[in-house]
Formats: sequence, C-alpha cells, structure tokens
Amino acid sequence: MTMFAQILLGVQLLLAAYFCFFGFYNYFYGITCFIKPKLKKVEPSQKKVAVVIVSYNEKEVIASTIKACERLTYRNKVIIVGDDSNDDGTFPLLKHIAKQRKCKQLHGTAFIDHGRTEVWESKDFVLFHRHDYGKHPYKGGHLKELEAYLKARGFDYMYLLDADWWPQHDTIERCMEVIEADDRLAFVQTRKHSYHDERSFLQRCLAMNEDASSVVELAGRQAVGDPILFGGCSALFRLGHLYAAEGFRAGHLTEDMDITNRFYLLGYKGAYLDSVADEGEVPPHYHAYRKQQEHWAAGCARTLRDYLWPIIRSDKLSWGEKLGLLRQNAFYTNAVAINASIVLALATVLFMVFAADSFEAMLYRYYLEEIAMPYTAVMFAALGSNLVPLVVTVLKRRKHVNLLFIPYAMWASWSVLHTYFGANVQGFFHDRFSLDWFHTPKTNKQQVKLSHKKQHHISLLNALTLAALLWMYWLEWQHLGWLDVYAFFWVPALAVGMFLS
Amino acid sequence: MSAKALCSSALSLLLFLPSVLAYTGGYSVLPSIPGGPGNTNVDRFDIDTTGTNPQTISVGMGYVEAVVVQTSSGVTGNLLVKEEPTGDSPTFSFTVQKKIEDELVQATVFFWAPDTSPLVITHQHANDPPTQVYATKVTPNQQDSDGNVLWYFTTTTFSEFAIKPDYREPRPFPVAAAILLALISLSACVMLRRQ
Repeated sequence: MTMFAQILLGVQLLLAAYFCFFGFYNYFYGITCFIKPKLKKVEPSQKKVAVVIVSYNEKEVIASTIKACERLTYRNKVIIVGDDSNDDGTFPLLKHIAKQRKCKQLHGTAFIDHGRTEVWESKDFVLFHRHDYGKHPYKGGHLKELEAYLKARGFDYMYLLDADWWPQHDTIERCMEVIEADDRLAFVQTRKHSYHDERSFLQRCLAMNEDASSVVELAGRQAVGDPILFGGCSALFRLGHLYAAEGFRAGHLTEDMDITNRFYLLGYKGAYLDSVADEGEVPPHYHAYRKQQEHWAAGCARTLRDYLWPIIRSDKLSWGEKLGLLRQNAFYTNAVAINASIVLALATVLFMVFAADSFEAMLYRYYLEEIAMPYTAVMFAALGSNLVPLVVTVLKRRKHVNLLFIPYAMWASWSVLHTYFGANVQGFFHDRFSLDWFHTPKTNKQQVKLSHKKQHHISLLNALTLAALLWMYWLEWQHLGWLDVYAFFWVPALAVGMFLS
Repeated sequence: MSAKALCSSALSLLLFLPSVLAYTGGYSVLPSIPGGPGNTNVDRFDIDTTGTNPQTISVGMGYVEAVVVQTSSGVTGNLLVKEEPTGDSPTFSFTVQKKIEDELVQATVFFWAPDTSPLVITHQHANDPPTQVYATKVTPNQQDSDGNVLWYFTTTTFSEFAIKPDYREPRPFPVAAAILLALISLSACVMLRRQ
C-alpha cells in the first residue's frame, strides 16, 4: 500500500535529477564563459579555402551574402554556392551572378550527375546547383555531393555559411591561425552574432536566446575543454578530417550535430573562436521560429538515438566529453520530461485534493515534508538556471536594456513545448522524416513580406494544456493553500503558444 | 541553439511547497538506546474503532510494538508510524487524519527500550515547547532478544495538525495574482507577435 507514495515521489525525484543535470551545465558554463580560453595559434598558411554558401530558395538574401563573402580578406579562396532551390527566382538569379563572374558551365566531369547537377565555374566563383536532390535531401545531402567537387579541385579547407550569414572580413585568417596550430582540430566555430530588428521584440528575444548559445555555452565549453558543437554554419573545416569522418550525412535535419558527434568519436576536436563574429538574422516571425525549432529538435532526437551507445562506449572520449556530448544531443528531450512532469503534477494535485484523507496521500505529503527544504531549493535552483545564460549574455554584451526582455525570451522558448515534444517523437521513431527541407525565412535587413500558415492543432493543444494548468493552479490554491508561482512561467508561455502558433 | 529556457524546469509545477505540511507529534526516548535504528522506518496501519473501542493496533516495528487507540465515537482511518534515528535513540512519530485526532480520547503507546528507570519520554507537539512524560514498564517484564523491555506511556493527542486546510471556508479568489497573470500573458502575446 505504501508503494504508491514512494513511486510518485521517486518519479518526481528522477525528473528533478534530470532537470538538474541540464541546470548544472547552465550554471557551470555561465561561470566558465568568463575564463579566457587558451587557444594555440600559428601564422596562417595560404592553403586553398572553399567558402561554401548553402542555399535553398533564398533569392532574398543570397546576393548580399555573396557580396559579403567577396569582401573576405583571405586571398586563396573560391566562393562556392551550393544551391538546391526549386522556386522561380533563386537559380536564375544565381546563374546570372555566375555569368557576371565569367563562369563557364562544366561538362563531362566525374562529380556532375548529368541531368541532375549543374556546375558553373570560374577562378573565384562556383555555382553547384542540384535540380533534384533525389536520395540526398537537405543541406547534409547537398554538402555530401559537393564533397566530390571539393576533393577533385584540391581544396584544403572549407568555410561553411548559410545563405543568410555574413562573415567577418578576416574570419578565415583568424580561424586558420587556430586550426593549423593543432592537428586534432577538425573545425573552428566562430561566434554567430544574431542580428535583429530593434523594433521587433520577438526577434530581440530570439536573438538573446541564440546569442546565449555562443556567448555562454560555447565560450564556457571552450574554456574547460568540453566538446564544441558545430553550429550549422560559420565554421572552418579541415577537409581531410571531414573526409575521414565520411563527411556530412544526407537526409539529416541537424547535420551539424551529426558531424560533430562523428568527429569526436574519431578523436578529433572542435574549437570555438569568440573573437570572430559572423552576422545572421534570427527568424522574423513566430511561425518561422517554431518551424526552425521543430527541425532542430527532431534532428537532435535522432542524433541522440544514433549516438547514445557509441558515445557511452567510446574509448576516445573522456567522461566529461561524453557527458557534454550527451547533454547536447539530449537538449530538446527536456520537452518530453517537462510534458511528463506536467501530467504527473496534474495527477498529483488531483490525488492530493480528491483523496486527501487516503493514507497514500498522507504518506506522500509526509515524505514531501521530509525533503521540503532541499527539494524546493534544488528545484528553484534548476528553474533559476534558465535565467543564467540570458543574464550572462546581457552582461557580456553590455546591452542592459535586454534584462527587461529576459522573461519574454523565456516565454518564447517555453511556448514551443508541444512542438518540441512532437519533434522528439518524430526524431526518435521515424527514420524518414515527414518534415521537408525547411529554410528559416530571413530578410538580411531588407523589407520583405513573409507569409505563414497558422497551425491550429498546436494552438488547440496549447489551449488545452493552459486550461488544465489553470484548473490545477486553482485547485492548489483553493484546497491546498498553495499559490503556485510557476503559473507566472507557464501561463504566459502557453498563451503565446496558443495565440501565435 | 536557442531554448535555453527549457533546460530543467517544470517539475516546477510541484515546487512551491507550503510552509506547513502534515505535522506529526514526535517522541524521543531517554536514556539513549544503544544501537538505535540506523534507518528511518515508516509504516501504516488501519484504525477502526467502530467495532472495538479502544482498539489495539499491533505495530511490531523496530521499537514501537503496539498502539491502543480510544476514541469518543467510532471512527475509521489510518495511523502512520515512523521510527527514525536521533543520535543513538529512536524517535517515534505518529500521523493520523484530523477526524481521528478530533475524536481521540487517549492513546497508549507500547515500545521497546532499555531496562533503565526512570525512562523519560520527550513529547514534541507541533511547535509547542517539548514536554516530558515518564514511561511505565509493562508488568510482568517482557524482554526482547536485544535485552530491551516493553514500556508504555499514554497521550491525549497525537498532534494538532492539518493535513488539509479547512476547505469548508472557500479561499477568496486571488484577484491580484489573477490580474497580474492576465496582464503579463497579454503583454507576452502582444510583444512577441510584433514583427
């Protein structure tokens, strides 16, 4: 009979431990990010670098990104646009840009899949376009096919950019100083500085979250030697190591996490260079943000599934590195645990209210009293850990007005809870994603009209969750005398998810 | 990656613990019992004085042997007995529902302790100052395998506690909190909607 209370509390403590594991890293990197990292540097060579811009239906931004790349000061470089566009304007625009740069179409070479791939090439500029991505979808698939070209043309390094990211003018020299100083380094990730329209509160909040992942997370990791995550773009790759790791994987939604895991499992490392910043824009509206997060979460879940055991069993990784990688791969599984805890919380409150005189309820409260102080302290510490990266980012960037926006940044993140949950399920259980290649619409500081479709099922799910929680908070207040402060975190977040999805 | 805010959290929903939970009266035994309990033991027992009143409840845990419960009228409920180490001595505590506490006339607690007179019981009742009562040895003497003998003492209260607040008087609607919640939710929707 007494087992019910013990099981209930046991599950809650397990969840608490899970949340604390993630919370610990927030505090840890929040401190270590202030330590100046010791990166070995050498005089950079003048080896051949491919500046690869990956494009998918991005006619709004691709031309300005190409111009930004042409302003890079490193001389021995070739700008390569890897394009999979299937809209009306992007490929014709790129072909026009290629012709302006005196590119000639290639025929008869091994890396051209005739009828499917079209390559235009000059000394400084290459357009690598796939009319049909067939069995090699997404960005990873494109990069996989592009590898053959890079190998054939004898490139030593690749600086990878998304179509909406503008590199710092000397980014290649700065990265080469670092990557050439250590043979184990497979890539150098630069800081991704998130541009946002000052008038857009949503973009400001999203930029705060994004910046935190560089300014706090990656900087903290670099300082203590934890694994560095390749963040999808703005990184210089040593192509020899990339080939050794079998390159990017086609069909993966988070090809960045996938390749990061394989690098580390092979004993290679990554480095983070905080002093170099590329600039890109965060999603311009809520719908784009939600879709972006959905893809990231699904890809992460798949990465966790694929690499959980290889990481645990690896003899090339220290336990610190293993935990760091697992934590990164499992990052979005928080949503699963949070949804579980919501259901558990609701069930517990109902049980305590409507079966208050039962022995099980009495015993549960009895146990809870025993651990009340440390339990409450630990859980508030875990909750507070959410604030740490944001506060530290604001302080490091010296943009103190953003302190006012921290609650909104949190609500924006928490509002996509159910999206994360669904994406985790897809990532864990579906090899063939129902998600298509999705590019986050960007404007590169231009006025562009963007359309989006409302997701009524997500809105409904958020509404139901909000209703259930409001009922629970009311029961807590009315029957147990608790004023649940977490209402101030969840109610706004779910309201945002309900109205803006 | 964004969504740092998701890290950790929502067990959170259960975190705001009230300052007072189910309190139990505690009894510590003096002098100390060598080799007292190393672990906390918790068990529950049925109370039913509708048939036999007073009712003898055989506990048979590490130190508490039995509890005799007498109520003013027949009631049913539960008795939670907890034994835990306090230095070298055990502390006994009892938890019952409010209805049992309200009806309690007297409870007699039988427990094992060293054969050293006088045996003093310190009763910590809710937040009141502790009081001391003398335990009485059961006659004829009964001894267990550890050499402890059986003692008893009586009490008229397990403790005054509220497992559940008095829900017969509805709490007023928390107007200020509700308005604040509505305002911040509205501001979040408006501010995050702007492009």
